[in-house]
Amino acid sequence: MMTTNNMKIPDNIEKIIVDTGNLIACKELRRKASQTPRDELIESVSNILKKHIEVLSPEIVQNKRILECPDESQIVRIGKEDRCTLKLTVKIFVYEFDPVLIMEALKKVMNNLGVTLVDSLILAFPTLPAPQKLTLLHIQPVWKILEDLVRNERVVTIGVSDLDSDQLRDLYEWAKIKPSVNQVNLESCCVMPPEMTSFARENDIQLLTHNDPKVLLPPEHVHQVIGHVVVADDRQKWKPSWIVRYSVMVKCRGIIQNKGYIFSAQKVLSNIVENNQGDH
Amino acid sequence: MGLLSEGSPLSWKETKKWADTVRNQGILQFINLYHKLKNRQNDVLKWGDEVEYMIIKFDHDRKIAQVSLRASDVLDYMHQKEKENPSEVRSLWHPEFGAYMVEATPSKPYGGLTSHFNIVEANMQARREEIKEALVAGESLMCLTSFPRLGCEDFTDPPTKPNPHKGALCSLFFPDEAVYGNHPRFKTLARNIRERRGKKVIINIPIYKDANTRSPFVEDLTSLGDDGQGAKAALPDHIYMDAMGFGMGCCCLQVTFQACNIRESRVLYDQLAPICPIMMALSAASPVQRGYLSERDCRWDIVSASVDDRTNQELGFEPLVDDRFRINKSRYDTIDSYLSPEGEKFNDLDVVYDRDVYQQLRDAGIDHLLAQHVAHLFIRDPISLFSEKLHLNNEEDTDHFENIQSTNWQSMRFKPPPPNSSIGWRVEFRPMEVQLTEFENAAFVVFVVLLTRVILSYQLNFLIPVSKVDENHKEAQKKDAVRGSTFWFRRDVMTCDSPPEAACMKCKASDQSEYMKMTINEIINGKDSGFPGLVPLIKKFLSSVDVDVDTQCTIQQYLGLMQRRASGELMTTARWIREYIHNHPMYRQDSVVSQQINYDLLNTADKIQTGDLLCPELLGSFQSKTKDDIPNAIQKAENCYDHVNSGGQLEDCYSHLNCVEGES
Repeated sequence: MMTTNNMKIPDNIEKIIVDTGNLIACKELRRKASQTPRDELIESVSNILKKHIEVLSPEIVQNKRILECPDESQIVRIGKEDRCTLKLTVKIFVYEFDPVLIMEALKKVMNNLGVTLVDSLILAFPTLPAPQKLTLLHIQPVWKILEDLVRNERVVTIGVSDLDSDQLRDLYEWAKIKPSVNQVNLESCCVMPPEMTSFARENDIQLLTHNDPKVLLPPEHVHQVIGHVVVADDRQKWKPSWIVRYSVMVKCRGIIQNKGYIFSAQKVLSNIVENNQGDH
Repeated sequence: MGLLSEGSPLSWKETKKWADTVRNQGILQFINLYHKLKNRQNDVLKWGDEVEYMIIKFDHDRKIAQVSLRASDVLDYMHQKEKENPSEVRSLWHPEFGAYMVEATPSKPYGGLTSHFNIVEANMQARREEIKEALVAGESLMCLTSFPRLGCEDFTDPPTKPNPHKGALCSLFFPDEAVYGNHPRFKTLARNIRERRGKKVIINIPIYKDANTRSPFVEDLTSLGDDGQGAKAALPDHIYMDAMGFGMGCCCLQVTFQACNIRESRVLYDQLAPICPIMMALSAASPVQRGYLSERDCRWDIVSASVDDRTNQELGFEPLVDDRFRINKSRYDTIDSYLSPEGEKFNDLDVVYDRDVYQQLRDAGIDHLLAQHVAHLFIRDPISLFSEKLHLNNEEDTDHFENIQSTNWQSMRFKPPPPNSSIGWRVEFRPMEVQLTEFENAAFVVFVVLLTRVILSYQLNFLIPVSKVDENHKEAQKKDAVRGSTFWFRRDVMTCDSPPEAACMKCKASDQSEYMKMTINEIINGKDSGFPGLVPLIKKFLSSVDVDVDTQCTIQQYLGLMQRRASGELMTTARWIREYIHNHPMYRQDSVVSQQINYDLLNTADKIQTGDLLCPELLGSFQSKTKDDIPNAIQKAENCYDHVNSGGQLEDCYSHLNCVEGES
């Protein structure tokens, strides 16, 4: 039997990347069907992480900075011959307007799923502390990266989440490659502002629904995911860097084949996490 | 109601002579079809609803509502329109058993995008618009599962008189003129069923005993011309009916969907079978028969008895001499066996099947479960046959197979692809009663189709022993079963196909603990201790797929209706009808639904359908955002994904989308 100490992330690890693999099968359903996306994320990621750490042999990670926990048994790679029958939607949740992190997240999900093309990529922007409001200036640097992904034929359509009509219009007018999707919260689907629906209709923007909270995983909740695998002193040092949710639909059958999360967190060596909490 | 072959119908005597030929050829046709199409793969999800309607004639001066026997004129008009403009029509119209009934389907099937769920209701509305010009003053197209005064004096327009001594039905109550006359199939079916049985059909439904209901409730049928046969057949304290029209003259709501291959169709057939009684109870809409309130809320047993062509020998009343089998169910009844390997261990009924046919199918390489199913269907005689359709090419035609298949009216139907078509393996879901409004009908249809997507995505398992499904089916028809009954349901709907570490140990043992009694509310909405509920599962699915806002809004309304019907917060149609009658000032607590009550009830129901009258106790305050078409943006993006994934240039796609300005 392992001792508690054996079940912690080794000290040399500064970054973790956890892929939950496919949650569609029994696993997801053993939980209550009404589980929120946040709880789903927390539970699935922390379980995989715990399992991984339990059997981790220290030699393997001895000289490493990054710990990757893909659940190999659960990750469903997309076969080339099946690819044309599937639709892959990737939603990236970021905590900073950092193109590098977005690229890192996208590369990871494409690599794990074994694909060269994402059908629909949706970006959920970081929330800003009040009274700051998300403007085009925030969006521009990351949108350029998404446009490049389309130009390089890595992504078919690019979209956004939770923009209001003005933000969407600003982005649309400025962007070289227009947003194809604006995701809005499911709660608002029956009460969409008319200016939003008419703007979307006129410009062929898909208004789709999501069921995510404003911040999928608030930074201060990160301990719920990794708290049980880090030593108490380190808890405050870890912060999430990005989260990916992927889902694979079998298009012509209207069923979900595969859905999972990839979660990445980083250990910040100084104590800035606490000080910066308000900024994210 | 099944295959409509044109031609001259044979008498029952002639038909009987051909029975063996039809069966022998029918089996060969099935075997050929099976081998040609068993490996068909990758068919896309296509689905469609079938809604049946009654044409009701209101005489507002005399305060009477009758069934209008004009279906054939109305259909002629609609078919003419369809012929002139086949691409314009949004719905297709078909005859049904009653001369007052019509059936409509969408002109094109719906597809696999979630946005398709949002065009069902609009299509149903469009059907009404399309048929309006074929109706005359005073007529309304109504979705009534059963006409409350069917078979009562003066129930048709124009007036008719039943003839108990002559014709196809020989009913004390139901005139031949109320059977659709423009196609010979219907009267032939009715006559042949009666002649095969050797007597009229007997339908007895327990009467609802109110304070002033005669007790025992026994009717004097002599004034209607009864020669004593009726008096003998009628049970005390029951509403007695004696004709096919009482059953097949009811309307229902059906859904058919195409599976990607034969395996998936067998899985869906099985998984939906236990859902049948649940959806029937939720959709219950027929509490009145032949002018009396009954103890039942659903049509099922009535239809079942109305086409029961079993002889005394088959029923077990006489020793088997001429007939081949003791048969425990009517041609119209619940399924007897599951078809998927997972279902096999739950096949606990003694399935009656033709051993020779079974062996022939096995020898032809067809597996036990499918062979048993087909050999079970083939215990029946063909019940209507057309002289022009006797000699067929078994390599190309399947009419003889279809003849037997389409006169087995079971709760689920497993449908092989028609020969020489682009259609794949399909499954038909048949238990639901029709609702008053498009909103409700769309809600039930969308719920069932969504549920199939959830079953396939999450690999759910609803299987319980078939005998328990049958038990549920009886229970579901009882008065207010939604609030008053409990149903066998699977305790754990997760499967063993899940990853090893998730394997539910419970799945291994097939014992009683696998299923338990639940209320409809628990089945639909879930319960605290572990059972998630069908609606929460559907909601989970919806939060994982791309759904446009209007479609999401609509689906949420539909799910809301199902949830609140299940909890009893909103009434089922049957309960609403009962309460309306009970509260009617002219109701005398004697179970009788008079001409005046019937008129007021249907007039009110008609106003609810048109939206002139709000009925929050039935419908809540839900409102969908149904649309005629799926959003452009969705269609374009989907085309784009298809284009690129099948090797096309992304650039084409964007110039097509008109999204890229300047550089690229």
